[in-house]
Amino acid sequence: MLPLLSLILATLLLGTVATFLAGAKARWAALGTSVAFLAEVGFLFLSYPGWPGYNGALVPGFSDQESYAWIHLSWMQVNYTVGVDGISLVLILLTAILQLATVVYSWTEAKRPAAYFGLVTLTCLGSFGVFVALDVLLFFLFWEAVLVPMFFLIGFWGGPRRRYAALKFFVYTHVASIVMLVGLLALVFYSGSTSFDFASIYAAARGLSPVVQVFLFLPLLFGFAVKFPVVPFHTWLPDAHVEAPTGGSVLLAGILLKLGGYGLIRWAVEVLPIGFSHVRPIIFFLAFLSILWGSVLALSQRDLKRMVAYSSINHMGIVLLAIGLGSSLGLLAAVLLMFAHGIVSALLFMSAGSVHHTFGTRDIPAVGGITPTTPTLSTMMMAGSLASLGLPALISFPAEFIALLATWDGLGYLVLLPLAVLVVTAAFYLWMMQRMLFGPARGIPADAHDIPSHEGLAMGLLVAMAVLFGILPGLLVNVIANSPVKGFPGT
Amino acid sequence: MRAPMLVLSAFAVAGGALVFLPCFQRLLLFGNGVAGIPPAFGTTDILLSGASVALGVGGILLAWTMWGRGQVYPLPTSSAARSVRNLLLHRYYFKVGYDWIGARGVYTVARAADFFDQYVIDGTVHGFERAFGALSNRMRRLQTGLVSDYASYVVAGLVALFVLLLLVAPYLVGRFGGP
Repeated sequence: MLPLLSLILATLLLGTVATFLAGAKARWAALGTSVAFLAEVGFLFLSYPGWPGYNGALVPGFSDQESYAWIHLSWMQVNYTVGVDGISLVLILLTAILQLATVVYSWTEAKRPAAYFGLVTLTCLGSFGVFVALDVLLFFLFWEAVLVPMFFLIGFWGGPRRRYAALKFFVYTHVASIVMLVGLLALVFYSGSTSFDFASIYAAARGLSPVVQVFLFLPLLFGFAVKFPVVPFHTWLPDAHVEAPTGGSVLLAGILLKLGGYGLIRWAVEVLPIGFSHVRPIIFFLAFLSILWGSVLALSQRDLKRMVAYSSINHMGIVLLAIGLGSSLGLLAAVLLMFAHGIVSALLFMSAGSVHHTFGTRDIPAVGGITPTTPTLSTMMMAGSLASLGLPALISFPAEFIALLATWDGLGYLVLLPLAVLVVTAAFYLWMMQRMLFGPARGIPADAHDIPSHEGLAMGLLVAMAVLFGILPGLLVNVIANSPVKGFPGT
Repeated sequence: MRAPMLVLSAFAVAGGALVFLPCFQRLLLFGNGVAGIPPAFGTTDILLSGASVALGVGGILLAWTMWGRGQVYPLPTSSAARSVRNLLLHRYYFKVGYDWIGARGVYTVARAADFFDQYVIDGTVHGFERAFGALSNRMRRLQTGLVSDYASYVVAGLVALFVLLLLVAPYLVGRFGGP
C-alpha cells in the first residue's frame, strides 16, 4: 500500500521548507506545494470507501493507516500512527482548498513574502497533521504546530493592534491546549493503556467508570471549546480576526476553528461516550448560548470583519449543538457544517479584506453603493453572504438543513431557537448588503477600482466549491456517513 | 436590493421544489434511513398545498383584474372605509412593525450585548490578567535570597503535599471510586 498520508506530510514539509528558503520566489513555492497537496488529497478522496466511484467493500475503520514505532519505553509507547476516516478526510479537503485559495489571494504580499507564505503552508501542515494523527503525542505536537505560525501571522502582518490580538490569541488557545493535554494524558494513564495510540486508548477507556469518564471529558471539552470558540471563551476571536491579515483570517476561520470540532469528536466524544452522555446538557447550554450570542452581536457590529467573526461563533455554535445531539445525523450535520463554514467564512473574510484594500475601511456605514465601482467584489460578497444565510443550492443549505433536521429529531421543539436565529443571521447579512452593495454611493475614493484578478480567482474558487457541494452534497455526505464513529448510536 | 431579492425568491422557489426530487430525498435518507423522517406526502398534504397555491394564484388574478390596467378607485375623505384603505396602503403595518422590532428592539438588545461582551466578559478576562500581574509581582518579592525563607517554603510545600496525599486523596477515592 502506498503510504499516501506520509507522502502528503512529506510534500507539505518539503514545500514549507522550500517556501521559507525561496526568497522572492516564495509565492511560487507555496503555490506548487498547495497544488501538489490538493492533487494528493484528491487522490486520497477518490480512493476512499464511500466515494461514489469506489468499487471496494465498505470496511469500517481508518483508511490508509500507517504506524511506526517512535518512543518505546516499558510504561509508554508512542507511535507515529496516522490514518483517515470520512470526518478527517472532508476536513483535509477543506484544508487543501483553503491553502490554495489563501496563497492565490495573497499573491502580491510584499512584506517578507518568504516568511508569510512559509507560515501559511506551515499552518496547513499542522492542521493536516491534527486531522490524520492517531497518537496522542503526535496529535498534540501538530496541534501546537498550528498555534505558532498563526501567532506570527497575526503579530507581524496584522493591523494596528496586532500585538495585543496575537498575544490574546496565543494565551487563550495555549491555556486551552494545556488543559486539553492534561485531559489527554489523564485519559491515557487512567485508562491503563501504555500505548498512546488512538485504538489502544479507545479500547482501554471502555472500562472506565462514568464518574471518571465525566472528569476526563470536562478538560477535553474546555480545551476544544476554546478553539471553537464557544461563549464565554470567545473574545479572542473577534480581536484576532480584526487584526489578522486576510490570509490569516481565512486560515483562522476556515481551518483552525475546525480543529476544535474535530478534536471534540475524535478524542472526547468517540473515546468517552458515557462521559459525553452525562455532559450533554452542558454542551447544549454552551451551544445555544453561542448560537444566540454570536448572531445578536453580529447584528450590532460596524466592522465587516468583526461581523463575520461573530457570525462564525454563531455557526460554530450550531456545529457544537449538532455534535451534542449524539446521533449519526447530528455528526453528519456537524462535519458538513464545518466544511460549509470553512468555505463560506473564507470567502467572506476575503471579501472584507478586499473592501479594506479598495476603500481603506471596513466600517459598514462608511461605505455604500459599491457595486458599480467593484462589480466582481460585490458579486463575491453577495455570493458569500447568501451562502452564509443558507440559500438553497449553496453549501450551507444542506448542512443547516440536516442540522435542523437532526435537532428536531433529537430535541423536538427546541429546534425553534436555531431556526429563529437563522432569521437574525439573514437579517444582518441582508442589512449589510443593503448598506454596502446597493443604494447611493458613499465613501468611495476617486481612484477605487475592482479587485485584482488573483483576488477574484481565489474568491471564484471558493464560490465554485460552495455551488458544487451545494448542488451535490452527496459527494461529501457519502464519505462522512461512512465514518466509524463508534460513540454514536447507529454506527 | 432588487438583485438579491430576485435571487432569493428564485432560489426559494427552487429550494421548495427540491423536496420532490428523488436525489434530495435520498440525501435525507442517507445510510439506512437514519433520518427517520421520510418525505412522504399524503392526500391531506397535497390538498392543503394545492389549496394554498390556488388561493395565492386567485388573489394575484383578482388584483390583476382590478388594478392591472392602472385603474384607480378614488375614495372620498369622509368614507368609513378610509381606515381600511390606510391599513391596506401601509400593508397591514407589517413593515413598520418589522422596522420597530428590528431597529429598536433587536438592535438595541444587540448594542447592549456588545457592551456586555466587551466590558463584562472581556473585562473579566482583563481583570484576571491584572490580578495575575499583581500576584506575580507579590510572588517575586518572596525571592528574598535568604536560605531560612526558602527552607520554610519547602516545609510548607511538604505539609501541603502530605495533606493532599493522606487526607484529600483517600476521601476522593472513597467518595467517587478509583480508576
